[in-house]
Amino acid sequence: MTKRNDLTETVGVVGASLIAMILAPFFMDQFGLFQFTVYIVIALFALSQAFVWGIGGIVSFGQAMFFGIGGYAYAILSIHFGDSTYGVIGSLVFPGIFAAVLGYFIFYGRISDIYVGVITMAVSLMFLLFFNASSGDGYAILGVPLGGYNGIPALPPLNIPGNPASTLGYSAMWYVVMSSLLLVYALLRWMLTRRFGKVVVAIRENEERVGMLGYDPRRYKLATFVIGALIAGLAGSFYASWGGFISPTVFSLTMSVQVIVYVLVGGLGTLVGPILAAIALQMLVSYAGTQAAVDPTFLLGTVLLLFVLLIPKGFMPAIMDLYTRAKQGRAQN
Amino acid sequence: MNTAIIILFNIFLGIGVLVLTTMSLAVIYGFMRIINLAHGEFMMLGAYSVWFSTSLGVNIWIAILIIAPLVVAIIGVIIERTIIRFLYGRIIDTMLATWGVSLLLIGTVTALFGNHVRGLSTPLGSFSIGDYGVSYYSLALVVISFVALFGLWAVFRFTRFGLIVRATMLRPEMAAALGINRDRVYVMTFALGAGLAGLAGGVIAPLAGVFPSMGMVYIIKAFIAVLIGGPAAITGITIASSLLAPVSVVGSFLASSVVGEIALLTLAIVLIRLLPMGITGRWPRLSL
Amino acid sequence: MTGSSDTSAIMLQTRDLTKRFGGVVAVDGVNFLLHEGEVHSLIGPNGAGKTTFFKLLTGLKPSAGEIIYRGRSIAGLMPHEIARQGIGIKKQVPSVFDGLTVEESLMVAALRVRSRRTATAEVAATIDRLKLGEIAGKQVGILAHGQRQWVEIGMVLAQGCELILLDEPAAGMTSEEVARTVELIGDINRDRTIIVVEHDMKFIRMISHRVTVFHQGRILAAGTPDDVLSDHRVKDIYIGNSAA
Repeated sequence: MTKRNDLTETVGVVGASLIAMILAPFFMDQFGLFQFTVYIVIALFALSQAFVWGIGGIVSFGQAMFFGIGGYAYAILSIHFGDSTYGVIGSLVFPGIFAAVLGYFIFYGRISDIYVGVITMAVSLMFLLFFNASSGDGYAILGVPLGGYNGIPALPPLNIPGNPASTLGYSAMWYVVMSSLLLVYALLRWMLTRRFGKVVVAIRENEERVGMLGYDPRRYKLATFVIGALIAGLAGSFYASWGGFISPTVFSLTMSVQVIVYVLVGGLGTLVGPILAAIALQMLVSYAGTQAAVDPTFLLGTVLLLFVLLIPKGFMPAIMDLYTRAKQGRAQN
Repeated sequence: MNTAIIILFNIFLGIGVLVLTTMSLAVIYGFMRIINLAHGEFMMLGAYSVWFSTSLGVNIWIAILIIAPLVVAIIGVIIERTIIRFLYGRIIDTMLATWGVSLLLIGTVTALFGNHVRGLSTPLGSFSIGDYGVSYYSLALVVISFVALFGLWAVFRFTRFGLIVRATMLRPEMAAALGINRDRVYVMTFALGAGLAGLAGGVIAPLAGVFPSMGMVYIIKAFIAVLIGGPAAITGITIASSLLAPVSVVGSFLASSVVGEIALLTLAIVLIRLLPMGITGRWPRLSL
Repeated sequence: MTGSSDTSAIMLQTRDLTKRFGGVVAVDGVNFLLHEGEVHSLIGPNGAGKTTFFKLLTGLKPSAGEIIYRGRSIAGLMPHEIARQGIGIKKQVPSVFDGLTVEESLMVAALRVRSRRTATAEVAATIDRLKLGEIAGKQVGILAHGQRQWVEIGMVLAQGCELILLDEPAAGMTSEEVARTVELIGDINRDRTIIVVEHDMKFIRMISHRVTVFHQGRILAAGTPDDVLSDHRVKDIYIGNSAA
C-alpha cells in the first residue's frame, strides 16, 4: 500500500464517520442512539484487540482484563470523588500500569505465543474470580464496596470535567464516545506511519530480524501491549458510565472472545475492519436476540469457527484480495 | 490432629481433581500440541451424559465410568474429523477454533437443557473425621484419578498404540514412511483425550453440579498444570498437580478459597517465568 | 583480488573461545583474527565447528573465552545489542519480513540510525545498489529465493553496519545468481568488512582475502586462499571433496 492510499483511507474513514456522528442524533430516536453508543464503545474495545493482536501480533486472549480494570477504576474513582473525570483518568492509569507489569513479565521472560495466550486468559479469569468473591464489607476500595458478583450499581454518568453537576445526556455521550473512537483510530493510523509503528508491524512479521536490525523487540511489544491496555481501559470506563453499572462479567471469557471474533472477522492487520465488524455483529446479535431463537454464545462460537476454518484472514483482507485480483484480471485483458 | 488429617486429605483430593481434569490435556496438548480450549466443555458434556443417563435409570457408576467417556470420545472423533484436522500445525488457529467449539457447545447445551444447575446425588455415604464430614465419594475420586493416571501411563509406556502415538508425534513424516496411518493416529489420540475429559466431567458431576459453563472453573488450572509440567506430559502433570494443589488447599484453609486460587495462579506464573520449558523440560530424556 | 595486509587494524578477535554442548566440544579454544576491510571466509567439513563459531559471533553464549569487537566484548549479547555495535547478520535461510514490501523492509532497517528524510535517501540508494528497483514495491513473501537473499542483504546494508556476517550466501542459488553475488560482495567490501561461512570452494577463491579452516573445533589453517587451499593438511581433510 502506498502512502497516499494510507492517507486517503484515514481521511476517508474519519471524514465519513464525522458526518455520521453529527447526523446520527437527528435520525435516530433516543433509544436507538443509546443502543448505538454501546456498539461504539465495544468497537473501541475491539480496536485495542486489533492493535495488539492484529497489528502487533501479540496473542492477547485476555484484553477483557484491561476493559474490566478500566470499568472498575471508573466506578470506584467516580463514586469516591463524585466527579467522573477522575474515573476516566483512572481507567487509563490503572490498566496501563497493570499492562506494564504483566507485559514486562511476559515479554522480558521470552514467553512463547501459546503461553502468552493462556497466561493472558488466566489472569483475566483471576480477576473474574476475585471480583466474583468480593462481596461483603471486607471488600471495599476507597470506601466503595465491590459487591461481589452483583457488582457496583448507580455509577455517575460522564460529566463536564470539574463540574459534576452538569452530566452528559444521551447525545452528548454519543458525541464523546464517537469522537474518542475516531481520535484513537486516527492516532493509531498516525503511529503506523512513524518508526514505532513500522517496527511494531515488522515484529509481527519476524521478531528475530527486528532484533538483528538493532531494535529491542521486547520494548516495542511491551509498548504495544500497554497502548492496547489504555484503549481497552478507556472503553471500559465508557461502558461503565453508559450502563451506570459494572459487574465482574466484564472480566469473563465471553468479553475477551467477542473482540477476538470482531478482529478475526474484520481482518487481522487492519483497524477499520474490526471496528466495522464490531458494529455489524453487535447489530446482528441484538437482532437475533429479539428473534429469541438464537443464543448469542452459540452465534459467537459459530462465527468464530467459520472464520478460522474458511476465512482466516478476515473480511477486509479477503475483499481487498478479491478487488486486487479483479483489477489485475482486468489489466491483463 | 484431625485438622491436619483433613488438610492432608484435601491436598490429596486437590491433586486428584487436578490430575483427573488435566489428563485429557496431557494427551491432547502433550502429544498433539493442540491447545484445546473446549476442554472444559468436553468435561461438561461428560457431566451431562451422567446426569442424562442416570435420569433414565442407568446405574451411576456405569454412567460415570463408561457412558461419559464413551460419549465424549465419540464427540471428540466428530470434532477432530470436521474441524481440528484442517488446522494441524496452526497452533493459534486451533486455539481459536476450539474456543469456537467451546462457545458452540455451551450455547447448544443451554438451548437444550437450560441454564440452571442440575444436582446429582452423591453415591456412597460419608464418614467423619472429628468435626469434619468426608464423603466416601471424594475418596473414590482420588482412587479413580490415580488408577486412570497409572493406566494412561501404562498405555503409552507398554502398548503398541502408545508406541505408535509417540513415534508419530515425534516424527510425523517418518511414521508415515513406516506405513503408519497418521490420520488414524491423530483421531484416536484426540478421541482418547476427549474420553478422558468426559471421564473427568462424569466423576466431578456429583460433587460440582451440572451446568453449561461448569468447565470454566477447571480449564485454566488444567492448562497451567500442563504448561508447567512441560514436554513429558504425564510425569509433568503429576508433578505440577502435586505442587499446585497443596498451595491452593493451604491457601483456602488459611484465608479463603479465592486466596487459595490466587496463590495457585501466582505460583504458576512464577514457575512459568522460572522454567519456561516446564518442569520436565529440564530432563530431556524423560519422554512421558 | 588485492588483499588487505596484516598490518591493517584488527577489527575482531576471539581469545580461547570455547563452546561445549554436554560432553561435545564444538568450538575448542579458538583464537581468531579479523582485520578491517577484509573478506574473510570460514570453511571446514561438516561438524568442524564453523557454524557454532558463527553462532558465537551472533550472540550464542560461549562456555569460555572472549570475543572482542573493536575493543568491546560482545560474547553472549542479545541480537539487538550486537546489531548496535555495528554488526549485521545475513542468515542462511533468509530471515525477512514476508508481509512487508521490499521498500518497507529496507525502511525499517534504515530508520534505526537515521531520520526519516535521510532514511528515505538511504533506502533509495540501497535499492539502486542491489538493483532491486523492479521489485521494490512487491511483498517480500512472494519473491524468489535469490531475491529474498538480496532483500536481506539490503536490510543489513541499510542498517548501517561495518561488519557483515554472511551465512552461506551462495547456497541454493543459480550459477547466474552466484556470479551476481560475487560481484555484490566485492562491491559491499568497498566500505565494509565481511565474514563468510561457505562450502563452495570456487566461490571462496573468488571472494576471499583470507580463509580460516576449521577442523574438529579448532583452527587448522589460516591465510590467503591460495596458501590455505594448497596446504596438504587442508587437502587431507577435504579428500573426496571436489574442492582443493
